[in-house]
Order: sequence, then C-alpha cells, then structure tokens
Amino acid sequence: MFRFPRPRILVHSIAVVLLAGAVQAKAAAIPPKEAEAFISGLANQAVATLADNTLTVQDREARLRKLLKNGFDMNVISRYVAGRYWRKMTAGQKADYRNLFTEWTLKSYASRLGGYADQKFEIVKTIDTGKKDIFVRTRIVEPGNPKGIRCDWRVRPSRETGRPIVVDVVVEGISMLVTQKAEFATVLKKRGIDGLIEMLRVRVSKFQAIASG
Amino acid sequence: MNVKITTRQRIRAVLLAALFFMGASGLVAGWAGGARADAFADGYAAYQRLDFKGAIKIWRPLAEAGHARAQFNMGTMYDEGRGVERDNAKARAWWLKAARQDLPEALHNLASSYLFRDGGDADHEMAVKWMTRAAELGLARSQYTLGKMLMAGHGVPKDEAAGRAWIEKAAMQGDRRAQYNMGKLARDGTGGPKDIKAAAQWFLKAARQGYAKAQNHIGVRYAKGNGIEQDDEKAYFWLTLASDQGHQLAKINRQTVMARVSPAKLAEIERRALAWKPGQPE
Repeated sequence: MFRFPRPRILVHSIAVVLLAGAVQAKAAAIPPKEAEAFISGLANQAVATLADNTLTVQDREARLRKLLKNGFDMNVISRYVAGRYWRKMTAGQKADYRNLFTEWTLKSYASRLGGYADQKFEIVKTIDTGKKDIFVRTRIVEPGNPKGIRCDWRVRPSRETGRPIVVDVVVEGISMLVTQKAEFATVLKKRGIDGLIEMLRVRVSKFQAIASG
Repeated sequence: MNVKITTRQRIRAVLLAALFFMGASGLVAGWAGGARADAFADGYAAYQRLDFKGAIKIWRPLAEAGHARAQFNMGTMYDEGRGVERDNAKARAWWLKAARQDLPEALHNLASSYLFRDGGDADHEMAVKWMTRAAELGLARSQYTLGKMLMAGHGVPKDEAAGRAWIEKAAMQGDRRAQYNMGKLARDGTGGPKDIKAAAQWFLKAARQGYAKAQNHIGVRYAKGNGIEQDDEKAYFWLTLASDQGHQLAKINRQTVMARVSPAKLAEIERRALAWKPGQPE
C-alpha cells in the first residue's frame, strides 16, 4: 500500500532539490564578461612571463606555478581526480595527496607552457552550462596550424573568495580532469592510495635540465 | 755528410718527441674539452631562452659523443616533451647512458622512470638499484626517495631502520621534506628511537626553510610546550606563516593560539611574519 507513493515522493523531492540547486547555482555563476576577463588576464600574465628573457626557465616556471596556483582550484580538482578513493583516504593521506598533486600539476602545466613564442591566444566565446560553471572558449594559434587548438576553460566562483577560478581545461574536447582521473584510477586500482602518493612523489622529484658542472 | 748519432742522443730525441706528442695531444684534448664545454653552455643558454629546439640541436651531437650532462638533458627534453615529441623510452635511454657514467641526476631520473612507466608495470629492482647508486653518491633527493621507498616497502622489503637512516642523511644535507619527515619519525619512534626534543628541532629546521606542514607542527609544539619550551608568541608566528601558505589545519590552530596573545603583540608578530623570508632568523 505504501510502496508506490514513496518512490513518487522521492522522485518529486529529488526534482525539487535539483531545480532549487540549479536555480541557486545559476544565480552564483560568474558573468560571461568577467569570466572572459579572468581567462584573458591569466593568459596575458603567462605570455608576459614567458616573453621575459631576463628570467631563467626555473624562475619563469616558478612564476607560472604561482599564477596557476591562484587561478586554479586545486582543492576541487584534486578531489575530483581521486574519485571515490577520496573518501577512503585518511586525513594525512588527503594532505599528502593534495600537496603532491598540486605540485605535480603546476609543474607539468608550467613546463607545457614553455617554448611557444609564436603562439597567439584568442578568446572565442563563452558557453553557459546553465549551472554554476561557465566555459570560456579560446583558440591557440601557432605557425603551421592556422586553425589553431581549441581550448575551453571551465570557470566557477571560488568557494573561498567568490572570485572566478578554473576547475578544468578541455583541449580539443578532451577534459584534462577526466583524462587525469582515468590515469589515476588505474594506479589506485593496482597500487592503492599509498601507491598513488608514491607515484606523485617520484614524479615531483625528477630533475630538470642541468647546467655545466 | 754522415752525422753519427750516439745512443744517448737517440734516446734523448725519442724522449723529446714523446714529450712533444704528449703535450700536443694534451693541448688538443684540452681544446676539444673546452670547445665541448662551450657548446654545452650554448645549449643551456638556448634552453634558458626557451629555444628548446636550438638547445637540442647543440646537445644531441655532444650526447652522441658521450657527454654525460648533454645525455641527461636530452633525456629531460624527451621526458617533458620540450622541443621534441614526448617519448619516455627515449628519455630513459638517454638517462641510462648518463647513469652509466655515474651522473647522479641521471641515476635519480632513471630510477624514477622505472617506478612508474606509462602503460607498463614498475621494475622495482632496477629502480632500487639506480636510486641506491644516486643516494650513495650523496644526492639528497635520492636519499630521501630511497628512504621513503624502504619505509613504505613498495617493491622492496620494508625496512624502517634503513629507510630512516637514508632520510636522516638527506635531512642532514638540508632537504626540508626529509627534515620534516625526520620530525615525524623521531616523534613516533619509527625506525629508531623516539625523541620529542629531536622531533621539534627537525620540524623547526624544515619550518625555517618555509615548509608549511613543518611550520604548523612546530607552531603546535610551541603552543603545547611539546619537546620545546612553551611559547605562544613563537607558536603564533609559525602558525601565521603556515596559514598564509594556505595550510588549513594551521588556520584552525592559529585561531586557538590567537586568544592567548595580546592584540598589540599579535599585530607585531603578523608584521614580522609578513616580512619573513625562508632562511631568515625568525
């Protein structure tokens, strides 16, 4: 007798909650112009850093890391990438994983940005997801590739400051977050949480190019 | 006209010729070595200008001729995909060449490459072999990594005492992560004696190098007088520095200590913390 009403109430409740959530989230989304200005600002600072030939590669990367650290929500990204394993981590493992993941991500992003002096960066448009996130579509044009590389930046308000912050980068339709999550899932399945932390520690500790001794 | 040459004169001439040849070949070798060093430095200058293709153009022939540092750098370029397509196998091949010449950085990177290979299983035996050699040559980063491998027992038999010994070597060389870890090992008595005073001193060393986690730990120890003389003002100083670096737990701990320090003193400590740089006296 009470079998049918229950699910109906449940479905109805979920719909109400989702709708309320969407409305609330929609209200909190970053306005398109602000999101564009934010991404444009990040890109301009990165270009200026890369163009500064008075700095060493290490100094440039340190500046880029700082830029990315302030522009990317590493708490959100690291949690998402760990997936269901996040809840299984102890407080110590969470802290180690988050620190190492942040260090490694910033290091690898910073190193990928180098060596493209002839690249040009253009804002194409913004795409509203209808939720709290907004995508800023950009195109990176380089010699020999006039069509350019499509790069979408997923931006949302920071939980701490309310200012825009990046939570994903989608290059030619491939989400860095999803790609990273898949790679980590394989390591987590094979070696567990400590294995993943160990992997990140090893990756972070690698030496870069050295000068003459 | 026949000129008679005595045996003594003949020996003298041969010796002179030999000396001349040795000197000349030494000069040639010295010149070649100097030219190679100059070329290597040119490659490094190109690398610093972010001209990665230019750097590779200079380093590749040097690497092929056996220059260990050029071989190592070629490996890093392939590993990071700078100026060339990213290729882990080629990176490892170049590092192996440099590692065979006992270049510590190459030994370290080579060992790391065996631990986590794209699409392949780890080869712990090889990783430990090369990492141990780098650690033996005194590379702090390798000593620390090897120590952590032994502590965790990943791919090697777990040996906390040996792991702690390697981490301590790295800590003694000033590696801040190793110092922080020594703090935890001494605090818990893992792999060696428990010593809360030593633990506090290790945390303090790492904190002075700007390590946020260590700044939080030493802040808490000052607040509680745990292994170090109780001092709320010093606790507030370190917890402020850790909080400013975004350490979440330090932010909570800082709030607790804040209530125990006078407002005037709080402002003065905050000013000092803002001006503080790693390595400076606190």
